[in-house]
Amino acid sequence: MDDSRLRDLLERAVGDPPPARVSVALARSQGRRSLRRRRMFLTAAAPVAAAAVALILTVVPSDLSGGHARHDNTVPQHSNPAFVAHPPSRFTLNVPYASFGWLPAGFSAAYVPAEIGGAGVAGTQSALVETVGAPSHEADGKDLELEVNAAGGCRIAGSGSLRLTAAEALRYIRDRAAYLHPLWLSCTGGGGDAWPLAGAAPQVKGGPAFWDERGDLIWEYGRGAWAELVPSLMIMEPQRDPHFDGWFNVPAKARSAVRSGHPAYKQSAAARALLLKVAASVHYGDSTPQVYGFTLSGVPAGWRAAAIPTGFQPMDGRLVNTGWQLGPGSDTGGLSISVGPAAPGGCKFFAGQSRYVTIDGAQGLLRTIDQTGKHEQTLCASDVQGLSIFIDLDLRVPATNDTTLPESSGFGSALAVFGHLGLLGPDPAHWTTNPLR
Amino acid sequence: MSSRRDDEFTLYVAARLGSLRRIAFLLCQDWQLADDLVQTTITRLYLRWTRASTVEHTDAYVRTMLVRAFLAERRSGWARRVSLDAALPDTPWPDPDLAAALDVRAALASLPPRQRATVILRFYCDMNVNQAAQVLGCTAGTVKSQTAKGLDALRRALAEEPSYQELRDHG
Repeated sequence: MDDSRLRDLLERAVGDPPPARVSVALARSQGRRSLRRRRMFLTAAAPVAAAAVALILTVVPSDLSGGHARHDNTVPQHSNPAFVAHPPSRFTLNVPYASFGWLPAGFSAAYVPAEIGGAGVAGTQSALVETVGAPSHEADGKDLELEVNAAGGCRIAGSGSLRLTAAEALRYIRDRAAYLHPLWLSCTGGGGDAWPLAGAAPQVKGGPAFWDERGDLIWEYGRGAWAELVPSLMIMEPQRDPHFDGWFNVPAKARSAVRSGHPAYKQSAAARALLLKVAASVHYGDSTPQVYGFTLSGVPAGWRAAAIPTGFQPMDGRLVNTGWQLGPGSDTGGLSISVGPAAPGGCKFFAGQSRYVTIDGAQGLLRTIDQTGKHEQTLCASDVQGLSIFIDLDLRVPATNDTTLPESSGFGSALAVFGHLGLLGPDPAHWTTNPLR
Repeated sequence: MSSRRDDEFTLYVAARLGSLRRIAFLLCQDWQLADDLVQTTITRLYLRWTRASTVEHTDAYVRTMLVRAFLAERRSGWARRVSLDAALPDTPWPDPDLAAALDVRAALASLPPRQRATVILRFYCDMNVNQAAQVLGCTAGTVKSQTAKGLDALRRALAEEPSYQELRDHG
């Protein structure tokens, strides 16, 4: 059976596809929901993040001044061990393993939990930071995403049966200015990314490091354990933006399916220095017990089984878990609840959708979105008993888009969900390790 | 969220949807599962669009997401509990093309998921050994051995059952 014969057979095996059940609109809607929830964390985390950075200030006073970064190439000194001797082979889902130390001025951090790997192993954790406040132009919307992989979750591979250690890969790249065979770091957790190693980078806290072709920074933070720092923008075509400052490499494209071609744009030296500085200040292995500022009662058993933590945020100099995402089997992300420290100004009014409500004597904003393919309700309050609250409820089951969430569950509206919420006040000493009742 | 991001994403996915569905079908052997797989993949793609759209080979990036989502799902509890029935109908189909297609589908379904993915990447997506290794997160040597095993199994599976033509000629 030759190649062309096999390809022909495979083509035949596909036959005529039936009408697609795939919905791009649904993908956008669910994706936007996840992004919006992430950004909600960012908004709520902003003032607290500043406090966390200020705390780090006392540790590395030479690097920061009043919470504002000097954009120099100095790599800060750290109290953390330089290289993690025994990184874990899996992460605990609701315990953040890594956290940002130094961040550029105007950046604020939010953290998303470990993703379940293919074998049910929590192999990857992500943290996201981005600029805070209204951007003066689109290119201000910079993101920095940190992905941390558990030990053994990634490996360096190349052509043939080439399998290299980091040191060997560095030698391989350095010895060949234009090396013939590509190398890549292949990770199995999370999105299952493969990172093509394009060049050597300065060491990060004693660990070997690489740049990939896009300008992402990849480094070994502990024995057999890798992390990646990914700069991105909230715009699609940075090369068309006059303010684009080389935040990452934009490869030349002769002609893409969506736009005409463009030349290559190179990542700036300042961006690389900044990435190295951020990477060098990442903290690992902080495993303080997780406590929550709320309880949620009456959770249906089927929802509880699918519950996963939604994120972490800095508080009192450490990361605390902020909430849970849960829902019925058909939409395990149908409900998201986040409770954190009070965040004045953290709620936004949307004309035509938002209305003011009073909950536990405090002002909140109830937003109802009722559009084609999108039926959601959010309840946002920046200060209720010293806590900020964000409830995001998908009013329909997305897979069918016409089935309402079961009323019998008592979770049929954002206000109904709030009725099940018990707030434990701003003092973490009174918080609980078991929020779902 | 910028609407331009959504426009770019929508245009990209709309242009690649047919191709992604076909690859997903070959992997899953079932159109409903294939569509679920594509839905999962493009939802993840939306979250990672800023990176995906600025890598050198966006198509390869998305195919990697698709194949890895498939392999992850096959390792999950659901896949262990539910298996697709690879059996063919008892009566030969009157259309020889359709019969051949069903033969190939059954033969593909008999391959373990990783071997199936390897064969599809190499011979349907026209990837070379290194490209397939990158997608699968393994060495080129593993791709070669998986390809050889997969092809061998396909040959045997396709040879075991007399084709419609053979049935007609000899029956």
